[in-house]
Amino acid sequence: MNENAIIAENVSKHFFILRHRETAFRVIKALLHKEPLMKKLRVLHNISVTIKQGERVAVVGNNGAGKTTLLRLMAGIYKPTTGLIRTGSEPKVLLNFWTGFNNDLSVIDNVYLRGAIVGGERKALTHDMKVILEMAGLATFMYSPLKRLSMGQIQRLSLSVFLNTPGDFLILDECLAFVDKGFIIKSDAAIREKITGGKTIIMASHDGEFLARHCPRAIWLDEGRIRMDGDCRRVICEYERSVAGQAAK
Amino acid sequence: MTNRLKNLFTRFNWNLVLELTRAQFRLIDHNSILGFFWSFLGPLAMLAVTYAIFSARFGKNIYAYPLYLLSGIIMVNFFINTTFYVMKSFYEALPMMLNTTVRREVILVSHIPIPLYKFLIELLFCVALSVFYGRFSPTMVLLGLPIIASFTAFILGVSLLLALLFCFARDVEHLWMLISRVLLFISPIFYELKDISSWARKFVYFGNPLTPFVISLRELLMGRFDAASYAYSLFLGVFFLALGYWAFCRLEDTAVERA
Repeated sequence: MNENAIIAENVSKHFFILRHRETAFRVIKALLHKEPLMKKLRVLHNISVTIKQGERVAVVGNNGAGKTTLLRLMAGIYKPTTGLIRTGSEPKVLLNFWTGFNNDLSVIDNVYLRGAIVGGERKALTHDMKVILEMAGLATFMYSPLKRLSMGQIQRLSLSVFLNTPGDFLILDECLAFVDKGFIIKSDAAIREKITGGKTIIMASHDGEFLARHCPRAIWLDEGRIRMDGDCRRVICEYERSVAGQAAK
Repeated sequence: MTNRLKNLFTRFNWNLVLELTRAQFRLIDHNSILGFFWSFLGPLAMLAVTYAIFSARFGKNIYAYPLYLLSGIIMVNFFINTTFYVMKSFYEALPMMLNTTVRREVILVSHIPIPLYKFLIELLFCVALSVFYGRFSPTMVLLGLPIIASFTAFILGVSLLLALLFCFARDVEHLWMLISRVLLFISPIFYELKDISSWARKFVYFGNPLTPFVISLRELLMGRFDAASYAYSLFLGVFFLALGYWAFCRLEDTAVERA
């Protein structure tokens, strides 16, 4: 386990979803007729993957392919229905850029709040405040309430706090969805500097270019199964070809 | 569970509870003109109404009846308000639970300091009344601290159970509202146990876990000590916290996925 950040063996994940809208009448009817109210939704099927410490791995796939569920399993947020997941250390995650923020608090208060969620201490955050806000391009908005910012600005802040707090094992999901190209280009070097240096990184995104720039390896998830695992550029190329093929149909 | 408990008391979790509490303190009276005073207006209004109605019937035999009433009101209020607040906060914090590795119980625990702070401020009013009636003694403060800690533990335990149930059925909120109203009348807030029938007394004392807490803390404020209620309160606090946490550890994953 020492060399591996994550070992997943035959991991499957099922959820139970409602068959119909849940009403008192339907609950009583289901109880009387012994009909199940829920049905099983299989999200991931027998996933086996090993990620070594210091590896940077991209996860690609269509919406609903199971990327976020896989990342949540790897982060320990979900428990697998079957199979086993072992992690070397607890990861720091950025699965939703909005999580932990509060609209009514100022930008600076939100940095402390979001920072605490990802393991940053107030003293260190105060010390790094200038760097965090400058990276997010929000140095002049320090005392503005968060609700005055745009989605993209909030996402930049979230990413900046995440990257400027300690952690050697990072999991990111769609961390650049609302961010403009300018920010991506500007912060590419900063991101590279923050995520390299022996850190284990797993990230899912629909931006193939971004993934290929930062990750040597990629996993393509298709309907809850691993369709391809290998060199990032090759996997992304195959994935994009498949998406283009589906769109053409 | 022992391992889990050991991992709960980390610097990371402590820091997180502090930051979440800080944020809530900033937000609690956000955009409110009277702000913090709203917290006191409720208990004071209830004190005025219950005193006006019950002082002639029950109050004439009870020494320091305003203190007797206020101490009961603030304790039951603390219980009802906190259980509601924590129960709903669990559901509202679901995005955080699904998108971060933060321990779920830490999020719930971070919702306790604000109601606890308000309760302690209200308790200061009771202490002032106790001084006014010449019943205050420093020993009661020392004896009161374990009861307050146990009462908070009891509330947290009940809140953990409610938060889990709320994820499975929203009806729990309505049911709890109903139970809360009943609790107000089956707790010895405006009457003494000796004023009610023998079977009702047993029911109120053993059927309502709030009663020993109310009695033991109030007795201290009155400068007396009820050893049986005191010991019973300490037991209830530990028991409900252990029960709530045990259920939480077993059901939190299902509850989060179900919610």
